[in-house]
Amino acid sequence: MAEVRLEHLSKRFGETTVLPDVSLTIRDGEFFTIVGPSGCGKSTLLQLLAGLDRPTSGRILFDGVDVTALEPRERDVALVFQSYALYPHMTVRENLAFPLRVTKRKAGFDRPYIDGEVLRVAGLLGLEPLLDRWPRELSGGQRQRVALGRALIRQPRLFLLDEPLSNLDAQLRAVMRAELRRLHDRLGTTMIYVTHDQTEAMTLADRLAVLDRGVVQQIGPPQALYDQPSNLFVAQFLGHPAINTFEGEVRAGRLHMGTMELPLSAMKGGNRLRDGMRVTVGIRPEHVRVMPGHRSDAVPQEAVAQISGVVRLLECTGSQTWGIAEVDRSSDAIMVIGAVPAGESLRPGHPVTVYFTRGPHHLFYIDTGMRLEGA
Amino acid sequence: MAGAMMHWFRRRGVGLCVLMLAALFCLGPVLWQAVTSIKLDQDLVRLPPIVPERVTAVHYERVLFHSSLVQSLGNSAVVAASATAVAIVVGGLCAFALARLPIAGKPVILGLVLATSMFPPIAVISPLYLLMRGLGLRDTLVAVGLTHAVYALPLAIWILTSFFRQLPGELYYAARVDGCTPLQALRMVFLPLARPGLAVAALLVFIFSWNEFMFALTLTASDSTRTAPVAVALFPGLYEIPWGDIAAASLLVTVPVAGLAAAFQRHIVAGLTAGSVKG
Repeated sequence: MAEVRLEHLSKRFGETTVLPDVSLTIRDGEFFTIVGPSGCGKSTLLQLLAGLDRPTSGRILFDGVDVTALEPRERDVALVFQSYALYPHMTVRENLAFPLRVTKRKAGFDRPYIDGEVLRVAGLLGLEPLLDRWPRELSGGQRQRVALGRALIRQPRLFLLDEPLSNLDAQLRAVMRAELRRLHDRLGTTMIYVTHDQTEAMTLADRLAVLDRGVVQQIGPPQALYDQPSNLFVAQFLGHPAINTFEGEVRAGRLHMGTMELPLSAMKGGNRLRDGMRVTVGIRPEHVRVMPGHRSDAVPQEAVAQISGVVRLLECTGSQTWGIAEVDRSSDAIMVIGAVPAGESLRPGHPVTVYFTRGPHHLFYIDTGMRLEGA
Repeated sequence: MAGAMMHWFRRRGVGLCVLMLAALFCLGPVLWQAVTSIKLDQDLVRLPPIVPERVTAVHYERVLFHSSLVQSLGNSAVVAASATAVAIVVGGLCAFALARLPIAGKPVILGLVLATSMFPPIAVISPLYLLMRGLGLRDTLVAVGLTHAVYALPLAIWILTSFFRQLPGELYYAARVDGCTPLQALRMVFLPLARPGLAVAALLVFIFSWNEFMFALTLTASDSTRTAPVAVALFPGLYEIPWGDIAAASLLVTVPVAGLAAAFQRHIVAGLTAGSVKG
């Protein structure tokens, strides 16, 4: 168990800077997720934490103790890889026992203790029937479990997980996700989980950090980041379907975006906008309704603006259908994604009316992408 | 029927013919040696018959019991085995460092290693002889073994480096995080997995050392240190060349390496890493 603090950590490979300057604190016992698109530096960050690589500058502290110069084996961390990295020449039993076997002399583990620990971890993860199999004889999910077990057996003070679920199929991923979370709650060990999958990050984390090009964009609980994205990148990265964004200009108390317009009162912080200001507005798909035709009887009560268009694509997720409508045919087509209410039957090409409801729409500066202060 | 045979011939037969010709070309001299080694002395310089009518074991008897060949074979075994051991241990450590450890200028180092093996033996033989004499190692098995090990080292390093590089880097990281020192990671994870590579490298070094002639000839001076190829080369007397004895000795020298190659072949199988990472 450990509190992890990164102080002005940077990493350069030759001329390329992967991490310019990262500072963050991960609390003791926290399930912390680092999420970002590929190449954002999240795996590098994990390697620095594990001690597999040295930072160019900055410090890493575990419980206030500087570990920057320590070897991986001196840090007492465990790392689970996306590729599992099981030792192919060892059985499941030997794979699980390996971390104890290696540190045996130092820690004074004897044979019966190791055997006992292997059984304990195997029991925890349901691996007992597989103990004498070889890694090549296991399914993806089983390999993943062995990799987890190998990390668990040493009872490290910090778990690092590098996209551990991304090689599994969707169904298994959901199961393992729940299992991981349960494991964490049971062990209470600090876990740092790196992923590019925002759903995974949102569902698992106590807190998460969104990373882009080596820079931490925002840190906080998942819901806070979703409700109050501090910049356009975070707003676009979190949430599925992705947020609608439009650039617009304020004229006479309304925000004009091509032929669309919204009253400023519908937007959080809209009262701070002045005529002539140009902003980007972000509207979550759940605050947009895509309805067939021009029926006046079915206008949603909370609608604050509407525009007609043509539905181009329907994305059915079972419980909810999302409609992607093309609304502005005057110049460049603007695509809006929104919820199709249950019971409405739509086909691509149908004329629709798109309603924007009053929701906490997000406003960002058009040049910096930063959230409008006070909004 | 004929059409089917033509089809079969076109698909497999041409390749088969080429293979047989190649085999004949390579094995022909060996076959001729075998025939020579069992001919009577008076038949040796006569042709026909190609296949002798009377055979004899007298050449084998002579080289095995009335020459120093057996001792030379023993010397060869000691030299080749120790050269292999040294080359594999040193080469393995070197290759591991080049494949996995963060070292600057790896391509340059590998290039230099390769460059050292490009000196023709004849170019280094005089200084080498003087060096060994200066060290007091002239006419010892140590001198020959050491020279062979050094000369085979680039080969071992190159083979093992490429084998280590094929192993997933994550296995190294996993071993390090699980508590291994780099050396433990090499011993407990990399070496077991690189067994096919080790076998290939060891076999090639062993064969090189077993067959090497010029260094062995230069650095040795007595029966007690001569290796087998040198011993065979020194068979010819002042007035006659004992062709039969040479043929018998050559075959006896070849058999161990051929056997070794056959035995190792089964170990040189890939697929040991299957199941380690997602396939």
